[in-house]
Amino acid sequence: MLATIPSATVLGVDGQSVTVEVHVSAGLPGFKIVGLPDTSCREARDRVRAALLSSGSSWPQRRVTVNLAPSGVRKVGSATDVAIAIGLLVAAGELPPEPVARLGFIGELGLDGSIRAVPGTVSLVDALDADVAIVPTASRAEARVAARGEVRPVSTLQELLAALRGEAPWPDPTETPPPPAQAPAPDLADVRGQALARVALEIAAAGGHHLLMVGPPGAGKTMLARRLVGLLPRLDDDRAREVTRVWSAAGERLPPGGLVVQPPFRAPHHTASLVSLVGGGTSTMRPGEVSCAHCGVLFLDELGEFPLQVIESLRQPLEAGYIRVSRALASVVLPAQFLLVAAMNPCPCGEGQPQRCRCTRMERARYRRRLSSPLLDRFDLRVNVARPDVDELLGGTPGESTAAVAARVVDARERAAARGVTCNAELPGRELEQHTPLTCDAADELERVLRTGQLSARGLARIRRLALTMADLAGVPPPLTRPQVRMALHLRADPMPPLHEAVPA
Amino acid sequence: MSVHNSIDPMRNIVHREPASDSPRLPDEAWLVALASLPAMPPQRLRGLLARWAPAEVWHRASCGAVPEDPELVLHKRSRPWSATLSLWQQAAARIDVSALWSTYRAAGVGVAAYGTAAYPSVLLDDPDPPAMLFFRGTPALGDERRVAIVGTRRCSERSRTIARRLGHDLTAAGVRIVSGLALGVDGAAHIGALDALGGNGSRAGDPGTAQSSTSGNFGAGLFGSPDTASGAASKCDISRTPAAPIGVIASGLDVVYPQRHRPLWHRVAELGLLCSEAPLGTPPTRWRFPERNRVIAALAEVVVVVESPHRGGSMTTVEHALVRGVPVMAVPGPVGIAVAEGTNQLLVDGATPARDADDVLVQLGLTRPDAPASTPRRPPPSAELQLLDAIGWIPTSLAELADQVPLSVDRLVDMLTDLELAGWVASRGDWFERVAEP
Repeated sequence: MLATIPSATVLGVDGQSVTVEVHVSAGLPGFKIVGLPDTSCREARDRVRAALLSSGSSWPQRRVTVNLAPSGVRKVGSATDVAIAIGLLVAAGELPPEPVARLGFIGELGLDGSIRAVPGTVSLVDALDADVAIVPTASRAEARVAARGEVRPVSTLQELLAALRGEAPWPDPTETPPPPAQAPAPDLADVRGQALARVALEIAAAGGHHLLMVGPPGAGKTMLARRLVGLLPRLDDDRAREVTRVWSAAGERLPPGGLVVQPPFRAPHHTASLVSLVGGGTSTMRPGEVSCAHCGVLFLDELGEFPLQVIESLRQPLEAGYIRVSRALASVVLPAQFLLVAAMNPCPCGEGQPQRCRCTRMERARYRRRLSSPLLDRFDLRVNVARPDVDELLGGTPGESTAAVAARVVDARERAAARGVTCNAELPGRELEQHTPLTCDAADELERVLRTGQLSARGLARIRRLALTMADLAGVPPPLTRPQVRMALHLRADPMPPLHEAVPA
Repeated sequence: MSVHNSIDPMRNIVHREPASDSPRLPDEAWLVALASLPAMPPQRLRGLLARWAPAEVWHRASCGAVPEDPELVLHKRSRPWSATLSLWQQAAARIDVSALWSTYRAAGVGVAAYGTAAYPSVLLDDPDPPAMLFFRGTPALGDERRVAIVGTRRCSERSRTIARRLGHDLTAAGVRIVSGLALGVDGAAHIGALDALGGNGSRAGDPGTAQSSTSGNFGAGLFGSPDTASGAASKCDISRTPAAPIGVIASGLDVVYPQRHRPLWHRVAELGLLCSEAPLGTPPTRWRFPERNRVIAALAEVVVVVESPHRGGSMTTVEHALVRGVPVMAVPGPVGIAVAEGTNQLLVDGATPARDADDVLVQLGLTRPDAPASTPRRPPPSAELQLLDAIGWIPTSLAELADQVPLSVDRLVDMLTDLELAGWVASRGDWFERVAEP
């Protein structure tokens, strides 16, 4: 007899609907799974058998064939365990087919019959070709994030079978009380001094401009970067769902409500491997750090210490907002639209100040060369972070709070939204002329700098976007003024200038 | 130039003329080969050439027939004479004199031995003249005056600007700049000199720079401008033909050090004179730099130290200058800054202050001290003046300034750019440094 049960599998962050077909026929007792299962999927046989026996059902002494359709798509992981078990019982005649109709099952079976959470629940539930999704209790919050009607959480196979047979009502687990409020996010008011870095953070948050902070050890680069997330607006529903999908697929712990509403902050260590950063390391093509930072901040501390290959791999996501990961088995597109914030020392000794630095020119040049100029070019904001002033440190007045700055950021983003983009960094080049008119003296200033050859055409476009963000933050509509243009030029200045001078030709 | 003894008085060996192909080789060929020997510092080579003709010195060195003599041993702590002789013998066995000479001719490197026509006549009376000089360019020094501009490699932006301006203005006033082509002050002086020779010193055609520089001595920021020299040149009744630079280097002429200055080397050799005591292929070893400074001091009529800490290569140049009675001038630097302590100490010790090219021209006797000063530059507005006070003489980053000055960051940047355009401040990336006093 044949049973057909909907389930799903996940690759990258996308779910793929899978139909589990179970056929039980006369013949030598045996169990076979076909349809490109990977090892963990093939091992379902042993888990299902033990779980059925533990739950008081019997194992059919007949020939069992399980097909995971479509059979050309690779199935990875244990998310189809429950569907296989239910299909087996239906095909063996132990369970009537009617209550199972229009139900889809997701979950991994334990040997004791418990139903465990699997990574990627959001995408799996999304992909299910059924009216009602049966999911592990542990991932019910996650499952409800998916855009679909009914989700029924179950925690054991026994419970599930009882509900299907009508012997017991569907379990309705009481919502666990939300855990005590998390430690408050770090506030910008804690930062003393650092006027320039504060401006840079505000502009980065408002305009989505990538930020490179260069400064001696202990200047507060990491402290500042951690406060950037607080300045970003909360994620809207679509983005929150998108981020939650990625986090779910990556197996990250989700917040109690299931939905990630705060922009993520990811800070991989500089020993992180290329694969852990870009993703695609496991057979499920698990998303990497850049995807987990989707719609949030990717903070790379000690940028100079990251392997060159790892840094350069960021170029595609920075340009396109996604990353295409191709491996021998599959090729997936992972979302990766993040605000890149990097911090590094100005030179190996960390001092940077041209006459206090103990490095030789060669050492400085070598350190600087670790960043290719194409990558350096992606940073619209490159600022030096100085050690805080002693007076400020000992009893200076606290700076502006995160809330005050965040309010301006929201206003600025609204102005950007009126231009049809999320933030000014995304403003296409052809619309720049229209959105960023210049006053006469601002145009003169740009002409002067262009003539010295210190600014390229691409640099010019970036300067205009930066200045536009500044105008948005100040609440002044364009045309852009000279101070704004000059400020933009300085915020984009080379933070690690080579200490040599050119020789006349 | 030397006494030619055909018989060695000590070992009683009858000296025969060297092998058959050798008579056709000029003296310079033997000199080149001798200079290429190890353990052959200039003083020792000079001592040998005072005794025998070059070909014979070579012959004796290659068979170990040079008698020990305190004048040749030079130092008590030198290696034993026999060891020196065997070093020479081993090295000489590997050197093919005629092949070596043809490489020099192919490379276009000139050789000037002490006493020959090509040898700079000013060095003939020197207490410690080079035995020979290898050169590219024109060896004749001509009638132009010569001023050495030296200083530390790790100089401040202010001093780089001053060195460059001095090099520019003095060259434009017809004074030859002698320097060591090192990083920092040395290179900046010659870059300034080349700016003056190039005709259009301002490469970028930057309107802002040219405009602001008309009113000041150090006005044009980092880039020299054509009209800045007029202040100096107008006061002097001397030739306005720019003079060619002279570079003195420590390594062989084919070993560019520092690599960064490769284009500078070529330009100096092309337009002026590039010379070295070291034969081709000599690496820039430490001991050669003080010796190079000796030659700089010997060639100069005035030594100007732009910036130097208490100890440094520039101070050896000063010592060599004092031995030779060459006047030493120093550019005053800010007090309390390590990199300018040496120059300030020189001023305390009696060196003449050099504020600009005019001061140097006065020292050379080319202009009168009471000549009218160039028009003073309009001081910046008071708000900017306060900002200028906050910017130190050592580089300060924008981040530091933003915390020190009670101004909004955009106002600060606006004012800084104004100050930079007016030539009070130089910037390099995110670093700002004061370059002039209002």
